[in-house]
Amino acid sequence: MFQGLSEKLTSVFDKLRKSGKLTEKDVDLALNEVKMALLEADVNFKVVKNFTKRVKERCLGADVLKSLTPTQFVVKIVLEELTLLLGTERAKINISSKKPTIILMAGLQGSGKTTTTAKLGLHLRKDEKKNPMLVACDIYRPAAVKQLQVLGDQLSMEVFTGEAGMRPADIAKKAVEYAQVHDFDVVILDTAGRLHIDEQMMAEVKGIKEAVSPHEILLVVDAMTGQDAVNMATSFNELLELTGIILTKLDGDARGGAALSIREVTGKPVKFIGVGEKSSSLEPFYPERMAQRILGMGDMLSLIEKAQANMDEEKMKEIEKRVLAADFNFNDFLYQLNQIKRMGPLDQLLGMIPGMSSMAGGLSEFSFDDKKFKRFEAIVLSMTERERNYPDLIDGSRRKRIAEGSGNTIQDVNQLLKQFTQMRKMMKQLGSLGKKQGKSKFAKFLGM
Amino acid sequence: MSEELQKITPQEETEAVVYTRQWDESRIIVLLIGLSLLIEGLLIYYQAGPSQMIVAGVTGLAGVTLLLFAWLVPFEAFDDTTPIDENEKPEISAKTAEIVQYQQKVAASTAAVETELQKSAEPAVIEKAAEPVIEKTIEPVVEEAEPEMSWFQRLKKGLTKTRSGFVGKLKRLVLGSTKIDDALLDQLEEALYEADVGVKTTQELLSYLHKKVDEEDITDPNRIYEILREVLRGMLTRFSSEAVFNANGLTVFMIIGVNGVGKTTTIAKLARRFVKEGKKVVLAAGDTFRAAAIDQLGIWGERVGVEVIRGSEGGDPGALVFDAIHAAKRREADLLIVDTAGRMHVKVNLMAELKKMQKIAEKENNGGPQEILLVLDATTGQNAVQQAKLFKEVLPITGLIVTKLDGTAKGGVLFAVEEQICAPVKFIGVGEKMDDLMPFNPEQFLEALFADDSEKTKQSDYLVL
Repeated sequence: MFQGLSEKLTSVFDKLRKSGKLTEKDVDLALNEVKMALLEADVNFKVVKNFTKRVKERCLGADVLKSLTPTQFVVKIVLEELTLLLGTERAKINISSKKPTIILMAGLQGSGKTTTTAKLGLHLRKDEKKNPMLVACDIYRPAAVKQLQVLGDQLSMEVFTGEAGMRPADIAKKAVEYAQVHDFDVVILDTAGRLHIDEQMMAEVKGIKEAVSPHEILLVVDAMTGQDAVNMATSFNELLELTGIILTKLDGDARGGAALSIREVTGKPVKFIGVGEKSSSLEPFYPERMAQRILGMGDMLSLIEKAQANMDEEKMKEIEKRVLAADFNFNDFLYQLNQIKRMGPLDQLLGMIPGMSSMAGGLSEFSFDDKKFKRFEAIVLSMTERERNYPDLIDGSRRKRIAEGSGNTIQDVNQLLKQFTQMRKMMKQLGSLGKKQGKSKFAKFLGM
Repeated sequence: MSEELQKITPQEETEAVVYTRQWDESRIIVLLIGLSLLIEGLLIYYQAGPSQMIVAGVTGLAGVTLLLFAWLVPFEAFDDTTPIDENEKPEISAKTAEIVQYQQKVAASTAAVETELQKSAEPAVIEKAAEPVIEKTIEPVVEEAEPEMSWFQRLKKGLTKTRSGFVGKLKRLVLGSTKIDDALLDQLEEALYEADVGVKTTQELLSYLHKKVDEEDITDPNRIYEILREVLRGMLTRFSSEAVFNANGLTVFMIIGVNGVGKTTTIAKLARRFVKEGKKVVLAAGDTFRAAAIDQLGIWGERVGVEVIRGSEGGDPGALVFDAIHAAKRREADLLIVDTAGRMHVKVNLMAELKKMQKIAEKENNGGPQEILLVLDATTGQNAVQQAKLFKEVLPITGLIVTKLDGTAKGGVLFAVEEQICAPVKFIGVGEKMDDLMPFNPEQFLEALFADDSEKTKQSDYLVL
């Protein structure tokens, strides 16, 4: 299991037991951890080497800020450099002043070009209020044209397909002419997947480029790509002069180090990321988040966004109050369980919180379909509304009834009740702690 | 309580203990509530801002404490009903405070970094790498497309692009040195990383090499190369690469993998291979999710000349497996290959669907699919290990198929993947043509793995399709 980088660095510096100025040896040790983290994330070896060199120079050149521990200092510099490298600007699609804007999608087989073409079309229509047309230039893979047509149908978006025997460059040309006549704002060309060393196919895509001179040439890259990302990106960039990158399949657990490699060798911005199979799951690229993801540092912002999407604010504030008053009851408990359930697998959620990733270790085994989890739910659901609101009411005979009602033993019910009581006690302590210590301390605790 | 807290300390120090901790039910409950509170605390802060600082803080703190409680406290503590003694309280909160301080550090560092980033974002200076990182030469080699190549020639052709490579590089490296020194081992390390072998496996290999060098007092750099190759070969030949067939009756292969690795194409190639061997093959278009995936397999079926059992798009793949097995039996087929939709290995419900397909195959055909083959894209990096792990948790994978080895990617992650799933690579894909799928040969793979990229060029296979 991969630990968060800051945890690793903390353990390095704990061993050194030093503070204040960083010696070269300290930095080397710390940077070795950074190197491993980046390699683990599939950042290209050479890119890692250059990167750590830069970070080292910065670390040695600067005094550690007084307010930061050495760990925080190194992490700060690493994150800053990573974010800088990934791009500081929010990259958008360049819309040409003259209609139509032509976008060419290129990439290896299986990187997700066709799906992304449809997603990009939807994004441009929804967020940029444009009228896009999709063009199927992949005449090789069986049913690739059909795939784009089906996706187009689902989104009620026009899909231009060539006639039998037409070469991709001709299809592209015809499509642009068609778009001019029918007043489309944007033309998105889906091309066949090709290996960067396949000369004929690379010549073909260059032919498409020359035929229609696209305003945007986007390389679609699988986030899971390993060390080879640099070779691939370099070849495509040399041949096509890319204008941007779209990183796909980030809904998996890949750290996406390829983004860094590609950015470093091409200098082109990542414009979007694909985070799911639905046509709506194309998102803008946030360098800071990607930097944190690559380092395995958790992703608080994504977590908060997820929470915002899934949690009811009003209800939450109510629970807050009861937590502070140690009045937390089984209804709240049930509600919370269900909310977390909606937010996704537990280990993923934990992984997004810095410092918690190591906890997620054994958790992948556990899913919400788990029988154990259902048993707890059953126990709570077998309580009456009054019992859920006032857990203290539950006496011996009620326990027996609940156990029978939920198909569990009395011991099971007892155990749950015990834990619950303990938890409430703890919350009470925390509540009083909060009142005593006042605002300043908590502001400090949060550090936000 | 204090005793228990003391018990924790040694556990904290041993990582292994921490990682293998069982997530029993009680712990999970506490954890869930903690997590929920923490998220709520964060959310309150982000939405309401500093005005709600105390509420957010206390909630967050409660969440963190519960999380740590779930994490650190031994299970027996949950059975302890004795009320918390007033005297022991300070100790507990001391411990909690310590833990919280640690969390604080982490949170503060992230926050500090975030603020710093906002500041530094404005100048927007991007330091460009001092030197170009990759040297790339494409030497055009004109070759006639030869449809009538032997399998060995095809393999060679597929892999020549990677030939002269790592092996070459390594040989040069080794032959160029007269002694075994750190520089040599560093370069070796680099070569392994660049082939996607991964941090863990690379480190293991290197420490093994170090040990060997010390033990046997090796001074000849050539021996290093031999030893490394031996070890790697040993890793690749642990399991038999033979595909398993049902002695009498229908054999079922199930093909699984994440999106875009080439499952459908690979199935067509597999079908072609076994048809050539004289088997009667039927395909099941089990990818009912992706647009036009059924048509894609259908077209391949026509080209290869095998029947494709189709369901409807969006239909239940489990039902399709059922139908396909019975259809294949009626047709007295030897082999049924089941396609599945690509799925991210982290999606629990989609993985459950795979399990269901396997169960149905098991029930309807007297024993599970004879082969459950995980398809991996050779360009995939370290995430392949994670993929293998999660698929393996759901299904008893019997082997791997590695596709796209005709690119410059080395697929070095295979070593770690094989170890993870305890199953061998059975087939590799080395080109776009129908015959470009072949049984795995560890020797040739090693050759390719160690190959240099400088001479890689590829002639398109599309036009001959």
